[in-house]
Amino acid sequence: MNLKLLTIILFLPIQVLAKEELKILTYGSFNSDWGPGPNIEKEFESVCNCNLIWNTAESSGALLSRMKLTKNNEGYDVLLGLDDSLIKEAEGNDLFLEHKIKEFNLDLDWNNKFFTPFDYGYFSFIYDQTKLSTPPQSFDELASRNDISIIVMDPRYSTPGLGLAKWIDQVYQEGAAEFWKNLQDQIVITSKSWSDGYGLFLEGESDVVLSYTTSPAYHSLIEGNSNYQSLNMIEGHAIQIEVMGILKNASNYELARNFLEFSLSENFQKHIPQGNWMYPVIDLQNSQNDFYSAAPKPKPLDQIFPSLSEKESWILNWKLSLNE
Amino acid sequence: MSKFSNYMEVYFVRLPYFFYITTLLFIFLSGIFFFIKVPDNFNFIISNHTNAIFFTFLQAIVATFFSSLLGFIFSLILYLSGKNQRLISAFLNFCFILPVIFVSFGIIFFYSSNGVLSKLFNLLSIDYELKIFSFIGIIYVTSYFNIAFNANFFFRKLVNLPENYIKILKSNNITFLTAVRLQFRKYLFQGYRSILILTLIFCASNFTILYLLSGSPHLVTIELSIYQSIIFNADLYSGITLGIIQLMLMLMLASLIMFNQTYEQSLNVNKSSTIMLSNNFFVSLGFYLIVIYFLIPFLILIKGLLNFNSQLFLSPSFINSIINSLMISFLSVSLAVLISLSTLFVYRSFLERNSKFHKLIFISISILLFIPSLTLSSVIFYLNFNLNFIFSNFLIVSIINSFFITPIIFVFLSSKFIQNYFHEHRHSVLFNISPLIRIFKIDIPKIKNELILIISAIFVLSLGDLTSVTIFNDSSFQTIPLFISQLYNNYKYDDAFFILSIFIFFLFLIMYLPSRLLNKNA
Repeated sequence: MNLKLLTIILFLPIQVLAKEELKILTYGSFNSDWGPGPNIEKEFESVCNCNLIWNTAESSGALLSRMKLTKNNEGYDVLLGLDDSLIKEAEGNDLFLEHKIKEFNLDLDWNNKFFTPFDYGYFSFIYDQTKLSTPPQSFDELASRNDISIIVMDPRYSTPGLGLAKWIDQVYQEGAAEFWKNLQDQIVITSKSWSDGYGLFLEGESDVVLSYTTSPAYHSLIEGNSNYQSLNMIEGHAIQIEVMGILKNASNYELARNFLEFSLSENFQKHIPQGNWMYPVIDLQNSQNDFYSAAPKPKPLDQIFPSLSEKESWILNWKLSLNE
Repeated sequence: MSKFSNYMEVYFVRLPYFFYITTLLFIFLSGIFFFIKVPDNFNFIISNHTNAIFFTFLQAIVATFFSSLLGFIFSLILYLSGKNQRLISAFLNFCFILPVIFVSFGIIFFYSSNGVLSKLFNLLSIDYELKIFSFIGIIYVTSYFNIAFNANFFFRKLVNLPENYIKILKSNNITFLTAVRLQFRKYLFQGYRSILILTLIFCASNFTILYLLSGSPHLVTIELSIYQSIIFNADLYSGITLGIIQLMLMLMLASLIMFNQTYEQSLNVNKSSTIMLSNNFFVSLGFYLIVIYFLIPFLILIKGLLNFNSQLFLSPSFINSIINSLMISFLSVSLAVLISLSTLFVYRSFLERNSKFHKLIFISISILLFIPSLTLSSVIFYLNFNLNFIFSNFLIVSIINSFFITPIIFVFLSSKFIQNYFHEHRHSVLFNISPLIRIFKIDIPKIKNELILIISAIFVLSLGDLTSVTIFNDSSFQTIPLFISQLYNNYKYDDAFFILSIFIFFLFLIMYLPSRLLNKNA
């Protein structure tokens, strides 16, 4: 009897014993030791009887670029980490399958058949209140305060940089190029990435830096330093929504769809605030009160999902100001 | 020994070079096929990139000029100081191979508007106006590595000056500088053209420095444009076209420099000389200023060690990153050494036959250096994509690294390897010495010291590489530079500086151990 059992086990195809695999491509910081990835992996694997396989690209922009080049020949199931500025372009390239999730009980308006949101944030300028005692409260005031130096990111290389271009376009529309011209004198560094720009701000290279309203929460909750604050602009703050979608060629559509549904649950979302330092897409005010207190939500501007030509016009406004 | 076995041995020794040439051809053919399939809507407008092309060569030429000039002056001062020559050479070597992010952050830490120098100026109530995130900063950091590289070249030449020459100079009351100007100049600059070309290449391919220090959107090089095209616009065609433009222009500049290159060995000496000048105040001052100049980036180690984090140091991710970095470096260096020795063998065999083909060998081995790393990575990515990703990212990164470090080994070893080639060749023929015996019993013992030094140097160089990993990064083989960049992206700046400091100590250890080994054997 034992011999028969042993024979069956030995000749059983390995695939029968192996768990299903879900291959996710995301940006590096999401799946780092300090990002939400490892905890989300544990949570999902405990309910799916599957293995989550992560792979990473350099940034959100690089994710879409890689998919456009390879048409997912690498065989990923889910792409996690595109932001709202890339959604139209991603849809246009016919890279994703419809997720068929009908109900969204989210903290933000959402209706897209290819993508589900997993976190969001508002662009803002961060300052050190011990160094800047009277912070500006509007874009006009910011541009008129020549005593304030600013670090921004290059919109050609960085999504926060592009986010600022969008924000200025939303606030000033036809006058966006003119506003950029007024702001240029105060911009001391245009960094290529958010992390470099933010690091230089912390080193004291400028008075304010382009980042997110959630950035002060990191300093307050992890470092116990409440000196870093977000400017509260009366015009409102532009939003950035991060999304995920099921890729064409996905080897396991059902499992991928389960993951997307799971991403909208509390077991996924609770790791976002202090893992990715963004707002969760479901309301977690009760369980994450510290986070919301340290990063109060600002007055929001409308969500927009730009086309390629709209993005190019934002970048052009910025470029025009450089030639002055 | 039969003619057949001799022929087989020659073939065996040449095999790594043939492997290299075949891979190179394969990559170039892929690039050509890639352009055959260019889509109709591909529209490359060169005027959009003229600023980047102009700035690439402007900053490269300026940085090469400073590196060459200061490298020469520094080498003279270091030699005249009469200090420990091995230590000076090892120090210059170490400064050359330091990771770019370490030196860049070190320079920012010292010169930025809130840095050490600014605080010092504030204490003295002096206005501090230096803007490090500018053209000046880019030239400063790019030159830092290349001054060390050039100074080491000249310094090694100077320490090989024969003792008798120095004695004759002293007895005839000829100053050393006069002798350099009138007599040694030709010797000192012999073989320098290759170093000058390498310097120009290193200065033109300073992607990470530009990425960190070009605070203005105007300061864009071809490599940054390639990065934007590939990483953000998914436009491989533009990325590769820009790479070809850089290749053509660099080849044009290099051919101007290489024109009339000779390989005569006019002054080969083994007994090193030390010049003992009576205590010259200016030389001593110059020596300490040079040491301070090179030590400035190391100040950031203080910041890193003040943020000591034992938990991070013992974390599986950190240990995993170290192991992966070591494995990549080990494979890259092994491949590069094999290819370099094989290429040197082929190169010398052409010299022995008085054939001009040796120049072609040099071009074939150094041509990849002229191509931006990102472009080469993109072509290989495209090739692997068409082969359905049969090669792992680990293997690809190792091969790309090895191809980039092979020319450095080749240039470093070439003069010693081909030294006395004419007599050796005659004896080999006379005593019927087989190629393998010649390599193992004559060549390797002859270049042993240089080989150990260059292996440790390039091992460190490929440990700190990030460029090819930008395209082939993969969570399954995270390396130390990627680990640091992840910390940086998660607000953990202090931890990133700590890991960077630990990394530098680790690199120092790798560089120090072979030097100790050589000292013991000396």
